[in-house]
Amino acid sequence: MSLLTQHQVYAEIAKAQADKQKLAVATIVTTAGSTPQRTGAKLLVYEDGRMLGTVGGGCVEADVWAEAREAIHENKPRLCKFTLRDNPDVPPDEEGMVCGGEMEVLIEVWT
Amino acid sequence: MLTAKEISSAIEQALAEGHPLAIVSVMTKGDQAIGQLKLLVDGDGKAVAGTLGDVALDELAARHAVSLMSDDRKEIVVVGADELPIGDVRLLFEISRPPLELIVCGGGHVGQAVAVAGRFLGFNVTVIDDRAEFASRDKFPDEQIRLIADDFVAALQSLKITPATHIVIVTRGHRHDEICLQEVIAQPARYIGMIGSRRRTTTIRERLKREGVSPELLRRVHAPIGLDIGALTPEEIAIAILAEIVLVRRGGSGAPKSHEGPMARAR
Repeated sequence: MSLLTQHQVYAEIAKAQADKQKLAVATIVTTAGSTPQRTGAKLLVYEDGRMLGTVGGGCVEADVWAEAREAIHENKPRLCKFTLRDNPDVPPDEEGMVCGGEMEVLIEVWT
Repeated sequence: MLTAKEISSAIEQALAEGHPLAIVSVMTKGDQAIGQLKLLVDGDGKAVAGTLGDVALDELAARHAVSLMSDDRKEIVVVGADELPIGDVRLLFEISRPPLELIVCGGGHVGQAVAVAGRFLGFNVTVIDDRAEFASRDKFPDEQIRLIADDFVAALQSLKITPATHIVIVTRGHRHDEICLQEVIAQPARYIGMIGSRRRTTTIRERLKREGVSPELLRRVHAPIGLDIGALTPEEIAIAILAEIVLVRRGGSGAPKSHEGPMARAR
């Protein structure tokens, strides 16, 4: 799936607002190390759980989705840090090559 | 606070003009995520709407946004106290850029290959030829390629040429090449290249100079066009041209990367 452009994102927020629908915008703002995610990727999560866009799929996307729903519920932005490692108990160099990166995701709530 | 609608119209307007737009947000203050304090900065560094909540912070952010926008590779950047004197605030810069446009003058063999290669690199491609049978779907089956069968000058005048536009002049002969070049040379395009041997292109440069085109404008023109990779076929020439366009956009030397390999001597 191609990444949402800024224009698409804000047009979509404006549309949701016109429909009186709350939504959260999750943006990958920083990445460090090896991650399949790309900074700038955005996932829109609506109050009813629907999604638009992608932050790269996989378990991170599910985690971001859950964080976004909580943020909507609290009506507060949040900054989440994720460590991408298959097994967090095993140091990355013993695992061979996997995504051993970290990333920060900003979640904004638009009401 | 800016509304999503205001932000979306500002982006739309800037991109239509071929200019970038930066959206700056206060991402965090201390441990607190903020997010919706936003400032819009245009390509000239003017704060066009919104605020980060502090005039001095707005000014710092606007200045930093300009330097980020001037680098094509920057799309999203987080800036903290290490880079700017902004205390415990972290700023998020998100840059929208207009879609890349490629105008190909001439629908012959080289023009066809350039159009395909341009699409491959993600350009919006427009092909102009004054011969309808060359500006046709037969020659350009990719429906995403826009075709204009018209006089070159009229067609070029009908197109909006912005700093996001790249122009490749590869018509069937130097007379038409020269006409096209003359039409676009003073336009704000990011790249203007014209095909032809060194001798032919020098003749055209000299003639335009005599006609009063300034040396600064002539220096913008990539002619002969393309990187020297020994290209012979239309497809190879297209790669040489698009490689040069990538080089102009991204920066680089155009030399082989290997210091030890078989190309090392060519360095």
